[in-house]
Amino acid sequence: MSNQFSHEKIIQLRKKRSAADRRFKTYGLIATVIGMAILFFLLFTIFSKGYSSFQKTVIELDVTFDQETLKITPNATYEEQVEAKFFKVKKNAIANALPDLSKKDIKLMKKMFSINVDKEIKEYFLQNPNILNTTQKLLVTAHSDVDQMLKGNAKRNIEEKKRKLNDRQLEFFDEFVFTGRLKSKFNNFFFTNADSRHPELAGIAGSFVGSLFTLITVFLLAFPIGIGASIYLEEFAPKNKFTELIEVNIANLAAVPSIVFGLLGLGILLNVFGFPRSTPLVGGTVLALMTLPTIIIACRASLKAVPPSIKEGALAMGASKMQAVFHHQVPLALPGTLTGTIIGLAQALGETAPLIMIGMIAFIPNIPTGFTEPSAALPVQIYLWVESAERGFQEKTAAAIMMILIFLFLMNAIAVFLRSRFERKW
Amino acid sequence: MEQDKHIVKSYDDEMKEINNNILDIGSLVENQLKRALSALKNQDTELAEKVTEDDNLIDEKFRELDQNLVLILGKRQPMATDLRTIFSAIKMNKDLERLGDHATNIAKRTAMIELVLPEKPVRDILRMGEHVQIMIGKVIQSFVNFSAEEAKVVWKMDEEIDDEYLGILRQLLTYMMEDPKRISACTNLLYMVKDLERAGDYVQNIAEDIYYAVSGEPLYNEGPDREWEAIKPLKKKK
Amino acid sequence: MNNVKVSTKNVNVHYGTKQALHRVTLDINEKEVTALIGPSGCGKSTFLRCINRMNDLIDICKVDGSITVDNEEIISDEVDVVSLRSKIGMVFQKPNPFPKSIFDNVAYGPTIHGIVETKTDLEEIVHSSLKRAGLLKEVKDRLHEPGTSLSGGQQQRLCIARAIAVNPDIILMDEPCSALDPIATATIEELIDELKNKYTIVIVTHSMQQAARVSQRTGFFHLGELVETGETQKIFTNPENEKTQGYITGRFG
Repeated sequence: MSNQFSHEKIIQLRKKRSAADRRFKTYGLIATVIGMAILFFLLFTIFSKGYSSFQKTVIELDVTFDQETLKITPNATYEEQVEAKFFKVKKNAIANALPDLSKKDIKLMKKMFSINVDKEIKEYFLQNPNILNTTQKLLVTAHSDVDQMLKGNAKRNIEEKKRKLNDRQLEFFDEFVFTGRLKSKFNNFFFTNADSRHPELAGIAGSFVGSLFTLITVFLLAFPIGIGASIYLEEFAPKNKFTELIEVNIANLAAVPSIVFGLLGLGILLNVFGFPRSTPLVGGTVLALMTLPTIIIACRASLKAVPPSIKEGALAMGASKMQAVFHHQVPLALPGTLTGTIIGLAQALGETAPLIMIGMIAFIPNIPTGFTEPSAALPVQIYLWVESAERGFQEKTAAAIMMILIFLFLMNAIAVFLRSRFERKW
Repeated sequence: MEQDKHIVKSYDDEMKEINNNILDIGSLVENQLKRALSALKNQDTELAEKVTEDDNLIDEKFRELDQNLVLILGKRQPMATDLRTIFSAIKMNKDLERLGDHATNIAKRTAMIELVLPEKPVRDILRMGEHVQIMIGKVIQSFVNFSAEEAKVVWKMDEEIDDEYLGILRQLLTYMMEDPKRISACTNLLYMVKDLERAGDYVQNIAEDIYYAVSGEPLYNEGPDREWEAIKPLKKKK
Repeated sequence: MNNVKVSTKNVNVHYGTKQALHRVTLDINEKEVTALIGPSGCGKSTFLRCINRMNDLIDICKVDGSITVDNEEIISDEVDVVSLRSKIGMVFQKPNPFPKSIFDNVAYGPTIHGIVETKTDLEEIVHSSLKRAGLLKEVKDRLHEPGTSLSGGQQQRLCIARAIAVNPDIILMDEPCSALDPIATATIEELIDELKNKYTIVIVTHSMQQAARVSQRTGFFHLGELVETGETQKIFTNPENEKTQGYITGRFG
């Protein structure tokens, strides 16, 4: 008896078992490392591609605000100033960007500047009207092709035909670089502009706001309906074949491909009810339908996790069923429900297919100001940019992905915060 | 104790131990009385002294059982029949020990008497002693059988002992009145007969305890105090 | 003293097809402690939960027979369960304070039943309930800490305070000490002893010693039947039924 555990066979077995333990631990470690590596690779690629779009290239330009060209008087009113001929000022400035430019050169030179330059000159002037009849050194936005060349994203030692900038333009470019007139600046357009045909002007503000409106719609629709449905199913519904069927179908609904919800939105919301196309309202409604099962499942699970003793205690005190549910169970289930909701919202945030179906893929150059205005959404924006041929949109795509990741991270942080804030021990 | 077994086996073992302790002390006491009577019968001083010393054995057993009883009370917190059994065992233990003391007293007196004893009362005392001895045997038997009926039978037997006691008491009084020289010897006999009578009472108590342990109902002595009834006329005559 | 407070006649309880209680007929006296003992699954808790209709929560549970509280039938669809339960407090096996403050725990009952008008009244009820539950001294300075921060015994007394805050007539206790240490148990038992002057108490317990200590009457359940009922003193020294005897002496089976 005493040495039955020191028998040789048993010692062998014990060694085998602990070796198996160690092996299993190693497998787990390897799996984790691989997963982390892939994640880091992904993040690295995105960030290394995308970070440059937070910078834009500007060109220092001598702009002469003479009153003849602008066709205004020094004591012009604001309205008159707004109507002034800034495009002519710009034309002159670009023509004199470098000395001794031929007409053809000027045409080429013009292509090196963003079409937004008139506006920038105008804004500068409106802010400082007393610069009339002086020459100012302004930093104006360069064309995306120049921007890409400076960032090194475009190759210059290839055939001229395949380049965006031809040989002459490259000469200008080199001259600008040599004289230090090409500069990098923080790209405010990326955060304040909506989509644009011109990469140097395209921003995510429009799609960001669109996504925000969409999510608000999702939350307002899915959260109350989801909670109501789960409370009813969990606490009040009779347990019979019919409710069982409903339960099974809710679980199934969570697995329905999102594009089907998009079709539903297209077929019913747009065509039958006549909701406005491409709006956060429709997008949000469709995504709410998609998020609903997630919220219901999470809420029911949290309700189930509340110890029945709490409910019993309340009922034994003479609380009505509704009081027991709303005074005790719902508050305890809320953190879990909120977490589930935020996860559902995060899912909705990343969803593209149903939004394409209901037309949120349209090119919207404005920032939406309401739920019924056509707008874009972040994932669709990414989809649009990745489709674009312009090189300048590539870095924008990566940057937009970064933004969506940050958005998701923030939402998850809120989920964690809510959980720790409201979670109570029992 | 013919009952189902406890779920806890050691509880049964402990109850069994208590049971055996009672039987041990019971047979010791029975033997003590038997030998005391035998010493009286044969005027065997040596045996009488031996018997006197052996009282220690009973005391030892008494203390052992006492310990076991306290322990089982604390450990098992007995209920119902177990509770009654333990409670009765506590009382029986004490009564048996006292019973032993009375038997020892008889032996002590025997050892002290150097006079010639009157034959008739001694014979009567011996017979009474035998009756008490039988009662002890029977009461132990009723405990072994855990039988309320048997205990009640023993309990009733004490009436006879009381009768015999009163008879011998009168007899000894008469002897002493007739011949004052006998007073010394008869006083010793008087003590012995009192011891036996007390012994009978203890057996009766034990029978009551057993009856209670078995049935859960108390068994009380009813009716007038017969000793007092018997002595009262004597007092009035003087 | 011996007014019958709760009277049950031929109470049968079925869980689906399984019968949990068979024709239980038992009278519970006013201002007395009645203990219900028996092996696990014998139906004593089920019986207890019939008295405040907590069995309603279980869909498959069907109760028939007659239970009267103050001579009013309660096994009937017309009975308002909420007001019945305000008259019959319950304390559970595991202390289950609400995950709220100590104050809110006790204040919950009076608030939902609208017993109090002003905040001062509420505070007074909370204080007196805690005091009667023997907890006030210990928690006076931390009424706004969560009830779950108390020790097990204190939590159970908090649950008792919560139950008596609505001033019930009857308190049902379902193994109130089974999760507590001996000292906490003793405190609860002492409390039960005091409470019986004001309330009718029915306690289900696994500890026979506890039943012997706290109760005046005891009922023994076995396999869904009320085997024996009588004065506690009698049950524990000289029970009539062999099953009772076997159970309380530890010979069961």
